[in-house]
Amino acid sequence: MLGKTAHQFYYTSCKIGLSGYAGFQTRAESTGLALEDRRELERKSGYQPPRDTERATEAGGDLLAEACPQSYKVIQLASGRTAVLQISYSGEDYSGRFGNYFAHGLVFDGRPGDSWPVDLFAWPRWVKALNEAEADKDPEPLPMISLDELAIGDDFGFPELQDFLSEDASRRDDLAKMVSSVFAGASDGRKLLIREVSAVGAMYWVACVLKAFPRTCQAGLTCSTFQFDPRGTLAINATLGETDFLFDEGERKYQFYVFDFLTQNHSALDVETHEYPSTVASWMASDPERLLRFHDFAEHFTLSEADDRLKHVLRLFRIQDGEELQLPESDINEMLDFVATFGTPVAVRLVLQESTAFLAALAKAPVEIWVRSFKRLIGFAATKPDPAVASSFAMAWLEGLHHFVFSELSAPQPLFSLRKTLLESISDTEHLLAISTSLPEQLDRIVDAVPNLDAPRLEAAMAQVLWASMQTGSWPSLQGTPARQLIEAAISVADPTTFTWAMRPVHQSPKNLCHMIELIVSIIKDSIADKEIDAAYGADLQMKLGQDFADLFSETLSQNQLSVIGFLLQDSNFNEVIFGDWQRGLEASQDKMAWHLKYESAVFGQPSNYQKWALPRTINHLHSVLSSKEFREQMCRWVISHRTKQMSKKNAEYVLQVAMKTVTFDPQDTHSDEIASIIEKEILERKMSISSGRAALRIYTRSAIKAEKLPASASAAIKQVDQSTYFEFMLPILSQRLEQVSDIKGYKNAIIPLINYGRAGDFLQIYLLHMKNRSTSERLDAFELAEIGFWLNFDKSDKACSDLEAIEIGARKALFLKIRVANPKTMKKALTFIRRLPNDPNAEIKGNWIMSLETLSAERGSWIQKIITLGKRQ
Amino acid sequence: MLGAIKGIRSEICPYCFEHFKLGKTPFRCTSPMSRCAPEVDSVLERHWEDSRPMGKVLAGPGRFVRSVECPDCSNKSRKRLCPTCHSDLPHTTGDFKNYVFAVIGAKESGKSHYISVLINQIKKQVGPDLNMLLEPMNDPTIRRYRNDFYNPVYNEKRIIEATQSALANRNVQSPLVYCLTFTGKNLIGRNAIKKAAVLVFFDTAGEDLDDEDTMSTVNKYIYRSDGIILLIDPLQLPQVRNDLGDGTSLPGVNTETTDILTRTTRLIQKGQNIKPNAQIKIPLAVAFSKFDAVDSLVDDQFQLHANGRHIGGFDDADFQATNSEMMALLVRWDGHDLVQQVQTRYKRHGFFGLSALGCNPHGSKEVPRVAPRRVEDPFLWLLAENGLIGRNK
Repeated sequence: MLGKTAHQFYYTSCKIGLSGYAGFQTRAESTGLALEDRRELERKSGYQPPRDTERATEAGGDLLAEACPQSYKVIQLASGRTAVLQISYSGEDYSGRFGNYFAHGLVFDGRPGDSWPVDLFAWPRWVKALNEAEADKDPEPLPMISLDELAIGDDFGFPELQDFLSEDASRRDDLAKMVSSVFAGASDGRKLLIREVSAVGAMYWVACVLKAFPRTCQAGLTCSTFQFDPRGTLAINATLGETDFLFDEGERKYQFYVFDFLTQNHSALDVETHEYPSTVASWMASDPERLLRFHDFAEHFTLSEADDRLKHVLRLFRIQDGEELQLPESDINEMLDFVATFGTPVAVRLVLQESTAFLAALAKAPVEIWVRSFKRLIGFAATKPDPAVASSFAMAWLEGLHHFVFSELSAPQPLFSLRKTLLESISDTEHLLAISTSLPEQLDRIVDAVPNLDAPRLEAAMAQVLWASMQTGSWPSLQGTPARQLIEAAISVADPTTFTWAMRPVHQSPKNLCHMIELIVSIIKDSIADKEIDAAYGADLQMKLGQDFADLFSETLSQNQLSVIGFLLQDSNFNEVIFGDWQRGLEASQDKMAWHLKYESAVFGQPSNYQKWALPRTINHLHSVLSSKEFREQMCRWVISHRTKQMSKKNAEYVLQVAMKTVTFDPQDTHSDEIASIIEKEILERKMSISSGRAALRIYTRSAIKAEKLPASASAAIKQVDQSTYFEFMLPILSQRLEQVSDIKGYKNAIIPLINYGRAGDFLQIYLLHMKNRSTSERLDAFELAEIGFWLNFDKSDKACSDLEAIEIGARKALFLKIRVANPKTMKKALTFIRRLPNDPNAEIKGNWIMSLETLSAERGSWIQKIITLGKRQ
Repeated sequence: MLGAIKGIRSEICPYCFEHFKLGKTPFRCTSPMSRCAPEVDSVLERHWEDSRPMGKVLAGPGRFVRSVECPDCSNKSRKRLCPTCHSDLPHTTGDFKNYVFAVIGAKESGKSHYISVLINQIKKQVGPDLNMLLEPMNDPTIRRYRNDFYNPVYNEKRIIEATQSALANRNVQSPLVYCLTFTGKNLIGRNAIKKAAVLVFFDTAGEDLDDEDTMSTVNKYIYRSDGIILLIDPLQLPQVRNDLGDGTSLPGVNTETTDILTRTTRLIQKGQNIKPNAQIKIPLAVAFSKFDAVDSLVDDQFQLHANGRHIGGFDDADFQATNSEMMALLVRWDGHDLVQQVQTRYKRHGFFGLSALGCNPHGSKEVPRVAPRRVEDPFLWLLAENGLIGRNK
């Protein structure tokens, strides 16, 4: 509250005053001054000059004034009023005795106008003595003094105080310590005591200390520019000369904060000189204009005490003044509490409007602290709603995103959680934040940060940019969007290892995801067109895009994913993307075949351009990632599903060839029948250049087993197929047909058609293999005896057997070896059978066989006999 | 047992003049402040506006003890405080009675000069004559007497400045506290201290006696005192001023002495709850100061011209003579009403004539030589009335 008028008050030793008796009394006062105020003023108006100047006072006149310092006091009356007193030693009283003084007081209802009480020290109308001409007259009531009449001199203006401080380099620090002492005294009761060598110096010190505090905080800053008595001291006291102060250790260390400029023996401060004292002292000494602005700023707070909480006002001012402060979270919280308690609506608005700078003060704090503080600030704003602050909050949040996520690379999640809180708590921030984000300078900042961002941070940037674009209606658009700028920047600065960051923000919206893919592909295509990148690299990028697209979905082929693929299938521009998606899915799946089948089933339901484009790539890729068996199975599926008919001839030939390898000659394998039939048919129909031999042989398998006469085409097929296929085809047929014979004639009838299919060399190998497969048999059954008979009686002249001649020797050799390792009983059975065979046409061979086998049989028998004899002896 | 009796004994604080029980007194820690952190004593602050951090206040045990141990520093303190105002009580409290002597009078009646000279006289001259030793009880008394009373008169040879109102100057509210020790021969003939008393002198600004409200606020000591010296400036008596004529430098006309006496009487009656028809028992010494200035108006044969001789005790014969002479002079100077007032209201009273400086400093304001006359008479009479010294018949 500002006091608009002041009561006046005179106190001195006079003959006539308000008490009715001569002596010290209130000489006069303004009408309306309360009696209690007068009594209190009388008590506070005491004056004793320094003892060592008392003699000089008797000289009177100017010497008197020089010798006895005037005492200016600012006091708080119990009524709450502020009084400013000037007390002057006036020498003799009406009775001619020394010791008189004159106190002139101004009493204000509130603060003395828009100034510091200390400014009144320079008021030119202070009365210093009773006018002798009026001393014997009854006093008239003193007029009230209006603020207009308080023409305050500039003796203690900030420039003058600056001059005072600059006179001695140490004064700035001394002032800071004095201000610290005022703070400390609030808790330990020690008042500030300044001993100066001159009254003027004392007044300047008091003025400096008082003006280090805002006008609004002067209530507790009572002061006296000359204090004689250690009792009754005020908050700030100056003194000089010989008084009742002792300036001993007790006063200096425990009772006062002493600044003794006479002896330079000051109190040691236990407390550090804190931020506020050092700052205001510095400003007063070097930038008084700023200090004055700070004091004006402090008018926005209702704090009336000059205590340590002023640091909050100071910090807020410095922030508002553009300084970048680094503050711990606790200080921020304290500051908010302070503003909540003491801030006027203007202050609250200022604080909230300065949220950006305010939170910048926390920039070096960990992000979680910053976020907590921001939330607290939001809560604070929510309790003090002010529509004008939404913009500040929006900007503050954006700055936080820039700083923490794009610069410090902090996790973005807390920021986005904070954004949610912000948008929910403070109206209009949604729109303002979107607008702010979309500002060119903001986008430039984000884009500039791209080279330093990893995928999560890029994703955060994209999320914010997309969110803003959606809010402002600039999404979707392929050209000129913020999202496009971001992606272009990412592509241009380095090979993007992933596009997931661009798509994840919209991955739950198939529509937006399609737009995003479309945008990225558009950028890649444009880059290719502009020759910024080559086509191959562009294709790789698109496939990478598809792979990243696949990574977006934890569930295989979710509905969203299929929706997007459905969109992409409509445009061949996205072929690489889809293919990349398929590749990535295949790569990631455990059961690749199953996954591929599912994908194929879901994606390739309808013929599309993509299929044609993708098939060779698909085949190649499948070949590289599937096992041979899986690959063949896949090919068979395409054959059975007649997919090959949709393929180019070349692709179809490859698929058929692979599928044909799966065809077996197992008579029970009906699947092979089907495959072989389709393959052979397609090869014939499409007049393919590949051989259908295996497929064709499969068709004749059953006829061959039954020893039916095979058509010429079968012979051709047998001749065409490779050796492996021939073995595969012929071995089971040979085994099955020979095992059905029981005499030599039957053997001949079974084997001759087979050899007649040609490929005698290969047939011998099969035959020997067949023999080998039976070598473990210990018996000679009818089929084997027929076999022995056939080959011992083999007639080279028989034309029907001409093709068998190539294997005659090998066959007989294999048979002989089999007999000679047989047991004696079997061997005897074989000898008996051989002896009964006719001699022709191979009597010599037969004789050799008999002789050898008999010898062998005899040796074995003697050995056995020897063993038996030996056993008996023992 | 003795402690228990002392504990319930009532004393009076020489600072705030409230009665207190000895057993109720707190103490103040006297450890060096470096050892035991001082703190602001809110009681002291409220009563004396003294907010300086002081030694901690230590509660007493509720009975008379000579010391209390500080719980923080374990120091045993003997500094006893008044329970009401927390002023330091004389260390003899409990052993010796405190005697409060008030020096009152109108402005310019010479109270300060009287005290200045009286104390010096007791120390230097009267004391040895009566085997009394007057010693200040504390540093503030030493400082204040030296600075405010002794130095101006004896060293600087100037008059003392006008005493400020106790309302505006806390020093004025602070009494001068002395210990008066009486020595003599004991039973076996050796020198020994026979008894002691604490004397408390109060100087009062004249204007503080002009207003009854102020008196009741700052001058409570008057009705709690053991003796009052009412100084009257004879130069304020109109008849005296007339008789002296223009040749004498006269002070300005001041409050009528009878007015102060009336207010003092009323204050005592109220304070001691004395019925209007009862007499006040406090001895009242009505002393006419600046008596050297009226020498010309006093009969030459009057004993008042000579100094008193109080050797070994109060010279009662001299007192009776001077008392009669003063009453006669008062009647002559048109002060019969004053005599009547004193005799009516005060059971014990005496009239004295004295001069503290022995000269009239009006005009020059200098005191070239201090030549006191009979300044000790009212004081010694009060001591005698209180039984502290004997009377020589």
